[in-house]
Amino acid sequence: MKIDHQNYTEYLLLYLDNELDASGRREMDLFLEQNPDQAEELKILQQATFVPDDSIVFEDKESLLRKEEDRRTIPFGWFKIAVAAMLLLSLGVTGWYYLSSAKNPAARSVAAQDNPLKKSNEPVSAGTVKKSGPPVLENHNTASAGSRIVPQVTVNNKRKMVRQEIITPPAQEEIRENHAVAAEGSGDQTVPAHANPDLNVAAHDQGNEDVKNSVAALKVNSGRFDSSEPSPGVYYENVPQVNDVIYFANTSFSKKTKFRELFRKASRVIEKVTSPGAAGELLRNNELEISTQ
Amino acid sequence: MTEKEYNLCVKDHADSVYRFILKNIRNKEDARDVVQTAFEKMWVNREKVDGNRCKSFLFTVAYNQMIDQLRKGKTMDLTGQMFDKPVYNLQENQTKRILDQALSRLNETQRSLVLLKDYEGYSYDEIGEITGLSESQVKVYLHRARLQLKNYIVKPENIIER
Repeated sequence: MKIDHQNYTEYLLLYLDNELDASGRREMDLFLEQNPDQAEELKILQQATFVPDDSIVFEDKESLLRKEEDRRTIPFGWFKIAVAAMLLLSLGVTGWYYLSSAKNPAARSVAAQDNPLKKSNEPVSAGTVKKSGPPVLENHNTASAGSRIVPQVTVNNKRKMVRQEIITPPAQEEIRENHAVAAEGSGDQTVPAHANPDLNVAAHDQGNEDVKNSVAALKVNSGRFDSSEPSPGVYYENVPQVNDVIYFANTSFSKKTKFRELFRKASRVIEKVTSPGAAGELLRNNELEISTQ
Repeated sequence: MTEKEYNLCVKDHADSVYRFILKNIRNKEDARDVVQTAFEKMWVNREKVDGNRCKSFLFTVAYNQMIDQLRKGKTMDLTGQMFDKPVYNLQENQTKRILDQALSRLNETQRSLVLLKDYEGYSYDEIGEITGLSESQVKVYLHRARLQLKNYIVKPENIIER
């Protein structure tokens, strides 16, 4: 930077506005010492500057002040939400549990007796639970001539399902089937002595596969289950008779049971349509059999 | 900017910005309105304002508000004939009166630049931020204003007696 008489005005104004750096100010001071006319000009420029008047103030300054609105914050807001969510969840789970239990109260009673049943599920016979291997459907239709036993207990490798077998009064169709079984296995010890041989012929004429299956199962179970007893009542696998409930371990209730029921119904319909006389005679025999028991 | 910083800014800079605006537009009520509006805008935008730079923000808002008001042609023209009566006392010395007359002959931009420099001591760069001008523009406009003021006060009829 070189200050001379050609450019001094700019540097003089920069000097006035305090926009020169330290070296520039020193150079300008030296120039002003050497040039009194320019120093006088600087004084005039300095007189043309303005000094703030402190007597001028903004009145009622308090009106400009502001205060934040009272923002109420609820402490632990997320914590409360989390607690509420946990309560709702626990209520929901509890309610679901009781509702599901109320739908099948017998399952709870069976579950309570699950331990002795598990112990009895040892493979002691062909009719008991097979803990390993594929599920096996067991036929219980020949358990008793006077009762119908629904399979209730299922044991799987991965999961155990427990059901209760409920003894219900035998339906007429069930009685007829039992008579058909008796007719089929007339030489077996489980066949009632009053079985009508005509039923055997009728059953074979119908081609009822379900009846055959019942006979097969009857033969398997005949070694340890005597259906000829007058009132079998309750049967446990390893536990003596208790109440009117029988528990069986079964490993399959899926499609096979459904198909069995379907075939059974179909066979009944065919039987009714094709040989109403035989059905009427069957019914009369069943009534007679019931009365004798 | 917090509430505390805002209120501190009011206490520290309300007078200075009011003087700056009043010196420019020469009308107390208008100057007061401008200052109130500037602070209101700063309060509304307080979350965007840095508390350490509240003065710069305040002067920027006030300057723009003042320019809008001046451009409505309400308070003044270049000759100062439409000014309200001077805010200073008639007993004040002659120097101050002549300077006010010289200032009134500047255009609104030059006047603002001179006052921002003399009153607040802002640098060219800071003045450029407030007024929206570049630093070189500030330098040029301000130098012209200085020379114009000097030329006014050196007129024979305005010689200041010492």
